[in-house]
Amino acid sequence: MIGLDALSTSLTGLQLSELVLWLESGLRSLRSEESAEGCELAFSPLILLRDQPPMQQFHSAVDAMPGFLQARLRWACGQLLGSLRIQDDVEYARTAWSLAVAFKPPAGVLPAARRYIADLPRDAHDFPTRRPIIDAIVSAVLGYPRSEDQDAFMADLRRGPFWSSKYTRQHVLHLIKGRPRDWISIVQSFNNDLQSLSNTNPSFFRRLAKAIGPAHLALGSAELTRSERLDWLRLLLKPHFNIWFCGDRIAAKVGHDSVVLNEDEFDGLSSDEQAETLLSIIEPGGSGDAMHAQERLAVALSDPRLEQLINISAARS
Amino acid sequence: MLVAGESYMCDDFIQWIETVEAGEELLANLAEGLDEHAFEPPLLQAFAAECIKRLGSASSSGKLDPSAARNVVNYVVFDPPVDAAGQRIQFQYAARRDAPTPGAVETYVTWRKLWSLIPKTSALAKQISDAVDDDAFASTDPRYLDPDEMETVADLINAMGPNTTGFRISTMAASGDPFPVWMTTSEDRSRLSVTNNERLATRIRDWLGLGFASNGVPLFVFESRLPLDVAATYGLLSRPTAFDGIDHGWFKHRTHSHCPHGWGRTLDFEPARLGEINCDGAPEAIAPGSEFGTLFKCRYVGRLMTPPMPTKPFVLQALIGPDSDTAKAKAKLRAALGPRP
Repeated sequence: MIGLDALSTSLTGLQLSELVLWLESGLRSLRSEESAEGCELAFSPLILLRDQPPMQQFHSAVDAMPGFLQARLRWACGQLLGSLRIQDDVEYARTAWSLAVAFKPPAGVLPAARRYIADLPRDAHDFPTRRPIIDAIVSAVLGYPRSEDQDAFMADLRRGPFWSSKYTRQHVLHLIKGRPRDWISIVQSFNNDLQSLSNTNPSFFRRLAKAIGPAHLALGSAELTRSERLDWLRLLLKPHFNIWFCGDRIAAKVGHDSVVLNEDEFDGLSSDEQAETLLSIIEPGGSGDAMHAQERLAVALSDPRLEQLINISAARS
Repeated sequence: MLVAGESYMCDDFIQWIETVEAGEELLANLAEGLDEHAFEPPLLQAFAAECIKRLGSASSSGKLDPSAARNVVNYVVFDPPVDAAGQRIQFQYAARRDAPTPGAVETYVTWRKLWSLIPKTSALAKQISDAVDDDAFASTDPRYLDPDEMETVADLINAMGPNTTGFRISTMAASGDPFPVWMTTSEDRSRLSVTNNERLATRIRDWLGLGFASNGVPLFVFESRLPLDVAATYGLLSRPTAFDGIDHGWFKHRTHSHCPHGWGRTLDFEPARLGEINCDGAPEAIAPGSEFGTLFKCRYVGRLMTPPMPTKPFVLQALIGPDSDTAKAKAKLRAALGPRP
């Protein structure tokens, strides 16, 4: 890669409309995601390395630009999306939307997304080639904090012919990342869709556990244990989530992320919920009986498995 | 107005190259290559003559900007002319090394580069797609990869890579030949006294002079299980020269410390940023990328923490010293190309 300094100098003097044209010309001239061979001057005056992915190099060059230029490029990306037509080359359209996932244009992408989706041909033969564009559009839309317009877009897409189950996964993760405290209610509102995915993408449940985070998973585990509707989810989340006693406190871990719940959080739960939370540690499969939670806890606390669990957890931590 | 012609080749060549992007760096690297006998003067003469011819032709319809002109020069290497016998002149792999690699070798790749190497119809690609966040593929940003997923990617590659047809450690060029792989050894690695994954990845990026890998990018390594023999490198294992590094803004031919296997040494960003004279990094050699097969294993190194070193003014300083100009380099090139009559 050569010409980083020349690139910043050259772009600094451009009007926004010229920046849009420069970006468009660059994206249109890319030939492959894998190598820049034959399109080394796509983002002239930058000269791309032939054997490296061109967009990786583009982002590296953007990183080296002054902040104001990076901001202008994000605006330019937004304008570029507005000018996209359904007749545009599929690869160009996909790359433009994928760039929007990365750039998050400041004025948003929803109007352009709605227009592009509305113009898509309903011809089923066209689906496979257009699918990567729709994937990128969904990712671009979900790159912004939740809003009513965003909810409406996703609901409309859900009703249309272009829906894919993976958008459910993305949407749920997006909503939970924004409001991890409400993860149970969010999951419940997508319960049927998610349940149908349970056999197809096990790694999703690791990402789900991570999006919820250890603290909220620990605090919600009582409700998860209590809810028959979410039985299936408890089993799928369990491999990605550890909860144990740390002295007289509760510690929880998801991936590399671990927390010790502070007393306020735990004390905020009702005594039944506290008991259920503790029970969910020792009874990962659920109780299967109708005993009151605190009575079950009293029984469970005399269970030697609890001591064993504490020892294992101490070794892990 | 520059005119192509044998008798003026030397000065014409230098004048042309001074007008192309990063031309001074190219001149310095060519001069160092000559000095070290990494290639012989006739190869440089062939390169100079072809550069003058193509630059003259490309500029005949209007002024070439420095980047376009540099790309013309780069393509003299990528799409070389033929010699008097009708054979393509090979500028790449000019400084061959006949011995096997001195030990196991390593080549470092970013996440996006790694993904570009995996055949998309393979079971390995499917498994990685399922294991990785959807945004890792929907975004052009090379940073999208969940830290928890990176080791899974390396595990999948080690488990399925050997049986994945078409999975190579470099992509294929349009010519049908694999692109060169830049490789190093773990020799001198003890100098990098860092243990944290992110710090180690960043230090290795700087130590190897990988200027295209920016902050936040996940870095992986392919490690050979054994030293590579001549067959495994297609007989083309070479010390890199200015021709091999023709499109690398951070390439350095000059070495301060002796590299015992006749390899080159990378430009280490850490001393280069400080303006130090000795900017030698890791040993480096190139060879066409082979199949992953059972020869290599993959490991996740870490996520880069900082941007790479900017090229200007640090690369030229490292090549010719902070207070010099390229006069010495030009004198060397003039001696090799023949003086103006």
